Amino acid sequence: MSENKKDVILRMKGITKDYVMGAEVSHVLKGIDLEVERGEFLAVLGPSGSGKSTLMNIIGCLDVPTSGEYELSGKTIAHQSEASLAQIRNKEIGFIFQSFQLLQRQSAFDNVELPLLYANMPERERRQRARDMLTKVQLADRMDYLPNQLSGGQQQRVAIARALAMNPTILLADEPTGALDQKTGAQVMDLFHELNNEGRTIIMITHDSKIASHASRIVRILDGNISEGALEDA
Amino acid sequence: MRSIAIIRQSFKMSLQNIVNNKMRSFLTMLGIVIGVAAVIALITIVQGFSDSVVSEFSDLGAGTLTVNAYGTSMKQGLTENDLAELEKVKGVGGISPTASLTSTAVFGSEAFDKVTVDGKSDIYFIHNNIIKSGRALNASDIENQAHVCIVDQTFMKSVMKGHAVLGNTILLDGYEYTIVGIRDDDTSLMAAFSGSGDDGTVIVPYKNALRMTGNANVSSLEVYVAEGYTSSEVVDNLSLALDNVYNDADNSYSILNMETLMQSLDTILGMLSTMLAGIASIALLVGGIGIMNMMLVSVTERTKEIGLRKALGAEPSRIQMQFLLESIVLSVIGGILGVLVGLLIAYVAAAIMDTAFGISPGAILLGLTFSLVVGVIFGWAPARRASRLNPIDALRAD
Repeated sequence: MSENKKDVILRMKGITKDYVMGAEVSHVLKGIDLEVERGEFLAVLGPSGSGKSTLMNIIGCLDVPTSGEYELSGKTIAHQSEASLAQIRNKEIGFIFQSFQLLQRQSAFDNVELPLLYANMPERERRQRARDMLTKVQLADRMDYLPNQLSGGQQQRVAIARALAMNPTILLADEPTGALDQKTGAQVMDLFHELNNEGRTIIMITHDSKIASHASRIVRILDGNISEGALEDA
Repeated sequence: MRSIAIIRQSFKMSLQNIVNNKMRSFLTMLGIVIGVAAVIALITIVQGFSDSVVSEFSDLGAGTLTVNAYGTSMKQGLTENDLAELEKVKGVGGISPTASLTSTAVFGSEAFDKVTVDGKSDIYFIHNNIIKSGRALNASDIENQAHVCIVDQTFMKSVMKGHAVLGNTILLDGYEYTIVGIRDDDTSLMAAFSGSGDDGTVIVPYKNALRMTGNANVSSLEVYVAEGYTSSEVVDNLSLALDNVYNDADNSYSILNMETLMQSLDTILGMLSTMLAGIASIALLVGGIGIMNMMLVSVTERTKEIGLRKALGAEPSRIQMQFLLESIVLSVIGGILGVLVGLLIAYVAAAIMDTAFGISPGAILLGLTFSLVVGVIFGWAPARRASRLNPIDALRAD
């Protein structure tokens, strides 16, 4: 791959999303254009109700747009079956949620293994990969712990290990520090920087401009419209 | 190979979820356990009872007809000539006249007055293999009215009391009889009906027994159906012959066909078994509804988990399989427990009622199939519901 050519891995063009509630139609996204290059650390900044969650769902292939084009890793995401959307999520997207979303009855190891299971990876490889990922987030000594035996920061690191397990195209983080105190939040951000430095593409959805400032690029979303945002017009 | 791995994984997750909810899983399973146990127990008990009865009846020999010739006021019983006529009837493979009475036997200096004396012919021993040691009565014994006899186990215990049996002599009706054979234990229902005397049974040539009763003619006999003929054919043919003997007099004789009796008994028991199993399967239905209820609760409870699994790449079919397997595992474990409990109940019941206990592979297969089917049917809707959950809504659920 040539170094100077733009390597766009995510391209959105005129994405709209309407929700029909009874007789009323609400236009949540009103024509989003967005391009993300490989290795970018992008923050999508917006207040609640701005449509940022809907945008995240569409980026994460959890939802499909009403109209517009969405291309991920060169593939057009449209009219896919539930099953193939699931496969795309499995391979392309590493989700990191505000509330960690770990299975409470399964160990850290089992949680990290989960996406690999759904990818039908052979057992030996799967175990190795899960171990590697937990080692990467410095939880090698906590693999058999249940989520409730871990601190919030550790739980989020398990979730990050899980998101990295499938080596996805994009890490998609939704308010990743929202449930953490400032210090642990900062540690998670450090980890994000580290991953980004390794060339990992990160898209982070947040309402917090301080958190967003960690990103190398920020776009703002307001009332369903997106704008390339400088920091000063907060 | 891939799909096997997937099923194995889903199976593992299902087991995990069942173990995680031990109490609830157990209570849910209980419905299936009770349903299957009831079906298995009832089928096994009825089958065992049926087997016992049938085997007792078949001790009399399949293809054996019992004729009771009551006779008329003009003519009692059957003469030698009549017997010869009956022997010639089409489909008759042999006839064995019998006579029975209770008499006194003397052994040594002791007298026993509750001895059953059974008169049989040599033909009887051809069709009934009852000799344990010694020999059967033969044609010349019958012809010569030989003073030989065969004794049963009870007689050996209560009369012979450990003395040598074969070759020893007892006094019957004033004559000395030599014991030439010992018969096996008579466990047949017929023996229970006719009631062997307290002091046991002695089998003598039927002519001797007839003489002891003071009757000249034979009034009861066993007729053996010849090969190639059905019992009912022979019954028809015999009826014609006996009508002839008694000039069509009413109620002069009766023919008991064990085979048809057995058949109708078998049919009745089969119907009974089906009916009882049908009633018991209502419990299975209730158990199935229990499973469905638990699975629906489980899906609701785990909405968030389902959403997460979908976000991480679980296809709808995978979620559906996981929940379906969970309900199948639950109900099949219930089914296996139910089979065991059912067999235990049947075993105890058989011991109490003193009937046969046989493990019927068909009943076990039925029980397991039932539980599997229940698991699939009642797990289907909840599993489908789980697979159709919208991941966004599911993730947002509390």
